[in-house]
Amino acid sequence: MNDPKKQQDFYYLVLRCLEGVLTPEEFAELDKMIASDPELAKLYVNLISINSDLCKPGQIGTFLLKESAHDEPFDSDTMTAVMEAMAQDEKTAPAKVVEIEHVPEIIKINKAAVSHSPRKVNRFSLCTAVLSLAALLFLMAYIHFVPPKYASEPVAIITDTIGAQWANASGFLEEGTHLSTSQDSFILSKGIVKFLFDNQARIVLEGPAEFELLRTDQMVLHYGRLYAIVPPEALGFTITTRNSKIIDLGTEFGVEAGLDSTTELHVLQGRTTLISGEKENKKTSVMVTEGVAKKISGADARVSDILCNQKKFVREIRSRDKFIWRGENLKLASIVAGRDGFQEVGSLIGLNPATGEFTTSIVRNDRTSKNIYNLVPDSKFIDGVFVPDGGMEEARIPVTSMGHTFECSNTSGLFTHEIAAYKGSIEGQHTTIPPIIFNGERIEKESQSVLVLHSNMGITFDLQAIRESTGLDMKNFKAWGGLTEQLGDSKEDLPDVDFWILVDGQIRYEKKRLKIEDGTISFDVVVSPEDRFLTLVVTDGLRKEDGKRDFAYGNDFFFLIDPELSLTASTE
Amino acid sequence: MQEKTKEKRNKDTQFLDLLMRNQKRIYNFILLLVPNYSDADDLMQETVSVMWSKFDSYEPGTHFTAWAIKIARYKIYNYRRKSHRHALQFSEESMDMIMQASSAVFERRQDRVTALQQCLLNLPEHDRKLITLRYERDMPFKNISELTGRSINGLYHTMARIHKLLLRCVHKTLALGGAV
Repeated sequence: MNDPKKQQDFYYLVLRCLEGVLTPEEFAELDKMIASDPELAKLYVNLISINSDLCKPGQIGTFLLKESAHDEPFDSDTMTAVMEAMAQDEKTAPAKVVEIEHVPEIIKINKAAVSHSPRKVNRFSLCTAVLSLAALLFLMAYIHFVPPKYASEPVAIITDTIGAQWANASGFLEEGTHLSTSQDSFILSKGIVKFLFDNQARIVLEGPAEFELLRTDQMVLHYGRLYAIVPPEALGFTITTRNSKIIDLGTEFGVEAGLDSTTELHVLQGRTTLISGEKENKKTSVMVTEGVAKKISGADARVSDILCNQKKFVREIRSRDKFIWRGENLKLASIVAGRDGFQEVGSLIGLNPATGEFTTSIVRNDRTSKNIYNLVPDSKFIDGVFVPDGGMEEARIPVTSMGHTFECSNTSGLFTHEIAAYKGSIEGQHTTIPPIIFNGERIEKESQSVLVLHSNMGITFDLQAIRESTGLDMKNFKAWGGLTEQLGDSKEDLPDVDFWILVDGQIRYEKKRLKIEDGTISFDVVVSPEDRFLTLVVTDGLRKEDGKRDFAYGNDFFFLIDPELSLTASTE
Repeated sequence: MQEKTKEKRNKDTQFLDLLMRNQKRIYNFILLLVPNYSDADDLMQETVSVMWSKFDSYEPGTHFTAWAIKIARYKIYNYRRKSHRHALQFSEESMDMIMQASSAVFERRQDRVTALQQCLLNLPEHDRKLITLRYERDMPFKNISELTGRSINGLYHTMARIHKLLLRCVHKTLALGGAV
């Protein structure tokens, strides 16, 4: 059998046969080759022997490469290496094999030796418990899912804790403690712990929980709830539970492992591979993508779809501020109300754009103030406020404390009603702010937060201060809103406004001459990690020039509904 | 009562020890005749279950693997009989050829494993990483394909080339008497 082409085809057929993807015609061809050529029969036996020794799923032994693999964490270079490995083959590969196969989303892969019964054996007494076949099969399954630990080695460090209480032999573990592979299970009875693996994968774990570290890119969660943030350099980071294995493919995900062996996987960013057992002891591998969640039954390891819960897992903590973040957005109305952005807005409160002071008196009160940028010392997230007026020459005006400016249109320089924030309905509050009516419907949902910017007001939020306080980055700023139809009957003072969103003085969104009849607007502005300040500016429109109103700024109540910054775990 | 428990525990330990030492040979045998990981895994598990239930009939000191393979062969026979309509199965001619070829391969099994271990370490790094992904990490071809943006068929061809390298290396090592 000296025909290289025939030999190549033979290898290809055998490997695909092992994976269970051969067509009947291809298998018939393979069968014919083996039956008719003793050399190929020998090659077949050798090939099977190698594959058997390479510890394919289903085998219980150790992997032949484990020693070297230990020193080679699975990093982004691996993908490059794979592509390099393929590059030389693709140069010579026949054209017919370049097509990409369609593979169904759920594919059966090849694992076995899973106990019929749920794995509820106490691991600590396992040695003495191996007295029955059930225990034996449990052991096989356990070895199957959980790779062996390597020699003692610190692979992660605790970076923060809130209310952590430990029940493991090592006792209290605090910030700065190194976590090693050789230690027994870590048992967190209460509280939250954040730790960082050497490969930069970050874990936030909620007690009660028990876990083990296997190596720098693998851990076991016996029970508890964790959130994993895996940067590109830690691609392939793996979390094993009693009945599943989750392999990161560049992502953020939450895993909950119950004492009854039930596992939940919620993928919030990127994608993962979930390998789980199912009935008849087969294994399935399924790609779980962003916004998707799966539940693996503790009874039979069956995988089912569940709703992805964006706020189920603690994703970030900061003990200094007792800050615990589960994925909530930051509400700008809450900040304007003098709160931290996560607390509810509460009842109506205002911020004077001419002084930077908070006030509860939000009624009509026409005042003037020109282009003085006022700091807001009582808010850690508001940089400053101002009354914009570019004057006849439409000059640049300061919009941040660091000297960013904005070329502003000529306004009346008048303002009224403060920069105001409230929750739900304006009804019953002591103010002359009108209720919101869009498309003939009153907008007063109890859960909504509202920011009101009458024309000729500006407010700048300090994004960097938010980052430093929360440890989080921002992804985007979004809201919707408009001018209320409540004032649509006003014959002299029909409202209209110009609205801008600035980042570091640069326009990221603008809506000029917005009128009631334009309906509502909505926007989604991307915020980058290097963006420092976010500014909202509302100025009076041009209807005075149309001769239809006495005061250019009269009745210009511009409402933003649920103005929020969506946050994400910091990449640092 | 205590003696009985002790005796049973000894038996359990003995079985586990024998199984751990010989499982790869048993699995290798099954995979030869049922070259599909999924079905082979099922058969392996069924074989182990029967081995356990019949361990009383095993005579200590006799050839454990031969005893296990006898059970595995029976399981494979049943499997072929039950699934002859839907499973891809070798013809009798192929089975005979495989069994004839396998005796030589099984003869120096431990030497082959040692040689394979060394040959894996001698692989170019990118090839070794691909082997690690597929075999150690259990990452399906589909996922490797998605990650790299390369076709699954291309991956099979690459894996075929790596297997060819490994086989050549193992043969060379064995021919040189085990030294690599």
